[in-house]
Amino acid sequence: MPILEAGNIVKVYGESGQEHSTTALKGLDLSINKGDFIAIMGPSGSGKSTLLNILSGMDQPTSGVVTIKDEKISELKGDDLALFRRRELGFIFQDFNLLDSLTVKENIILPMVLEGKSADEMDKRAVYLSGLFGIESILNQYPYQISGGQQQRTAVSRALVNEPGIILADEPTGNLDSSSSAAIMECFEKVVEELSTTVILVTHDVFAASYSQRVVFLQDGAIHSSIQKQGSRESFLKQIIDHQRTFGGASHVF
Amino acid sequence: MSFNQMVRKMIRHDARKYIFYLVCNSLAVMLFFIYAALFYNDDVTKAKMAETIQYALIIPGIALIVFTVFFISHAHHLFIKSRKREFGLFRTLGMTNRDVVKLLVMENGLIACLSIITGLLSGLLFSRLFFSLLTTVLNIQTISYGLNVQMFAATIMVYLLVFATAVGRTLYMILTQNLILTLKSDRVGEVVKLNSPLLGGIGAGLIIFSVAGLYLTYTGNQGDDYIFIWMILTMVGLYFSINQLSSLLIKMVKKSKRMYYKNLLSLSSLDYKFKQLTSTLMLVSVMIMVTVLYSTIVLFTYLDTARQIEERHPYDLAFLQTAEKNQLTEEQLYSIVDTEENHVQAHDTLPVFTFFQEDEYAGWISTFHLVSVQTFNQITSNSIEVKAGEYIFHPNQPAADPDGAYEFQLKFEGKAPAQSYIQDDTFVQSTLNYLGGEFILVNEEDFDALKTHLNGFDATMNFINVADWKSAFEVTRNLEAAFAAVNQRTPSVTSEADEGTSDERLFSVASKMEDAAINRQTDGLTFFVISFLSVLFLIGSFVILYLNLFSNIEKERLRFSNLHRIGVTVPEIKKAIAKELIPVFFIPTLTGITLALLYMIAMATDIGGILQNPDVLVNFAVIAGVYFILQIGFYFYSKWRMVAAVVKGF
Ligand SMILES: Nc1ncnc2c1ncn2[C@@H]1O[C@H](COP(=O)(O)OP(=O)(O)OP(=O)(O)O)[C@@H](O)[C@H]1O
Ligand SMILES: [Mg+2]
Repeated sequence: MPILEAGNIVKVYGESGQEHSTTALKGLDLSINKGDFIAIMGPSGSGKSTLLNILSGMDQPTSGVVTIKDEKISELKGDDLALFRRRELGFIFQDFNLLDSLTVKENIILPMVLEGKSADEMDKRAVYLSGLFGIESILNQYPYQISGGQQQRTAVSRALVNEPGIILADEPTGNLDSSSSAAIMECFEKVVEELSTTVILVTHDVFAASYSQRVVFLQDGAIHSSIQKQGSRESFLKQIIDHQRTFGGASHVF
Repeated sequence: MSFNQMVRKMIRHDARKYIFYLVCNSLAVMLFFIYAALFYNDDVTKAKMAETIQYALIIPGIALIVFTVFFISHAHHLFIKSRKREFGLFRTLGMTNRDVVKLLVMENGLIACLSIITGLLSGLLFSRLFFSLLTTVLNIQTISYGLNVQMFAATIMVYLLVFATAVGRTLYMILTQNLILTLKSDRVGEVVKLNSPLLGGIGAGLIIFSVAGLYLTYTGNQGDDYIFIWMILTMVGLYFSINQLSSLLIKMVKKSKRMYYKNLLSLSSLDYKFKQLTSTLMLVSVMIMVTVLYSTIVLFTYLDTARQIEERHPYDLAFLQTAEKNQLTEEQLYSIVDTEENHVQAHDTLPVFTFFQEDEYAGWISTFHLVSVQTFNQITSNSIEVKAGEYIFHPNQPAADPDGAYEFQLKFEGKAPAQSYIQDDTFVQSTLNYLGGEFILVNEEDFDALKTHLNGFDATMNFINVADWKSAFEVTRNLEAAFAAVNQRTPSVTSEADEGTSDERLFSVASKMEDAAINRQTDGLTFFVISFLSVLFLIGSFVILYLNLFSNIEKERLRFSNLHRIGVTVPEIKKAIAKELIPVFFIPTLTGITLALLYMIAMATDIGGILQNPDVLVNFAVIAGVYFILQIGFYFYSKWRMVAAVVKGF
């Protein structure tokens, strides 16, 4: 039974039909089950971020419906939407989206603070997550004092803090070295296996994508193809690289 | 595309930033010009020579100059912070220092010119408006609007000096700072750099020290001369304490984790806001303080003078009459005083013997009225007793010095009586309208006997009440004119060689209406100046706070929209905005009001201490209350605007 369903999603930036308008998504369908781990790949500008924003309700589709846990989120408005996001979804943004005025620890626990959790609970969770990502030594520093990779790990910790049902990540490993990106991907693997959390991530990184169970390829605002993991991660990695090669050839030749 | 074209395009893109910068600068020029229009006003300048008004101008003057310095540097800082990144970028792309300097100087030069023009124009307009509004509202004729070169020169000079300093500092910093820092300046600027409770403590200490200093020195004659030193100390102290206040608060709240987490959002941004807005908050506190302090002084002086006028004039009008002077028949008198709309309610008379005596120490001639205590008691409903051979000295004025000995020795030149007279007592207070001299109360028998030994003349004091004194100003004028006509025809009772006494003084009409009018016109100028500055500061403090809050609105929008993205609801955002705005609005208000109260207490030593004048406190409470209510209104307005600006679009 799908936890997330997107039907015929169209997104046009600007007034449709006008000179400056861009059609970023062209009637896209997607269905994701509980406990799925999906990677979305595709060339730059193919609409990956746009799709993720619409799936998470941060942006409205021009037409089409997104349903998460039987809730039509494309019809939810304002505060209901905000509350839904905060309780059911966790986000990791391409640009971290940390608050400069809060320390790393405070950034991590912010969603719990909003939910009015107890201080003990928050402290425990912050300690656990920071240990998991090796940022326990910088908990009291501010975002501008730490490296890009550390900021990203902070953002990942924040996304996981409320134990959401779905995690949406836009290039979570974009700024990380291979060992920290492996740590994050293993963590995703773990929440998928142990908590049956659903993870949807957008990435350019084939190594990161190989942790997922299914890779969906986007091109020009539509799903071009998708491949399912069979066997080990290593063989899946090879499979993705191969697929991307043919796929890349089919798109643009410079 | 040439570099210049690129710069122009960037300016167009950042138009808001430039406009904000321009508005701040123009505002500083405008406020300063309005002050200069008052300070260099010809009528005020004349009064300044007489020093009656000096004190009313000095504190606001300092506050305004400090204000200009801070405000312009602050606006410049805000502006440059955003530009610095671009400059850093230009330099990594190979722009030379010379180019950077050229660009910066050109840009700021243009801003300065425009600011001077718009600032002076709006200053002209508003000072004109202010003057006519206040002269009408306060009904003051002693001051008229006028322009002179000094006003313009002073404004332009002060502005350019402050502005050039700020620009110079920036140039120096950009040229010496390393590139990475310049590139990051946007964010590094927000670092909460200095957290030192010690500094905050020193600040608080300075404030206490300055208030204590004012309290101790204000009793002396030189009080006014030192006040500006204390004022500057207070401002410096205020700066440090405000700067550290938020850290202290956060430290305290942090003791309870629950409390801290609950208010995480607003607290962290509050700390940042307080550090960012330190100078603004200090300025606003000082402006509120000055406004409240001076408004209270004005209100108190006005009410106190009105009270004194009432107190010193038990009768609406009074005059001294002799066989020759001020001599009008009953009909003549009534034809003037008793009008259709304003009938005479009471007309009492008191026979006295007016005599002159030389003051032993000062050497001048003083006037006294010998009066029988029995008739005096009758008219004043007193029950004073004086034994034969004794007399009571009654100055008929409130005590200037409560412990002063009011000795009076009757002197008889050549015609001393056989019997000696001794002073029994003094009776220091104001009982009747003051008519040119003090009273000597004696027994009825001694009254007639003493007359023959003293150098004077018989006279009658006339005391008249009308139905409504406030509308009897014309009556007093007419009466004076009629008396003057009569007196002209008779020889003077005083000699011109005698210093300290004159016919004019002795036979003038002592009336409530006259005094009230004099009060309005002579004290009117001070009244005008202070009211002028209060309104100027009130508006000034509002505008600064508002501009500062809204200069950052784009950033706030971004911050809150980021929060919204991770699931913060609009009501939660509204609550966070309120929690952040309340301290920004009310801490300066409370600080300003508290400081005003402390200054008031210190300055009240001049009038015998605050406890002797509880009215001051009442007036203060009224003014502070009004200010507080205005601030509440302003807070709600700003909150509403801010929520609208932040929440729009999500
Ligand atoms: N706010 C916007 N306004 C107008 N057009 C936009 C906007 N955001 C994205 N686009 C356009 O929509 C298309 C899809 O953009 P999107 O950001 O989804 O790409 P992407 O696949 O995430 O690319 P990348 O891998 O570079 O992040 C692009 O052509 C882009 O120019
Ligand atoms: Mg993207």
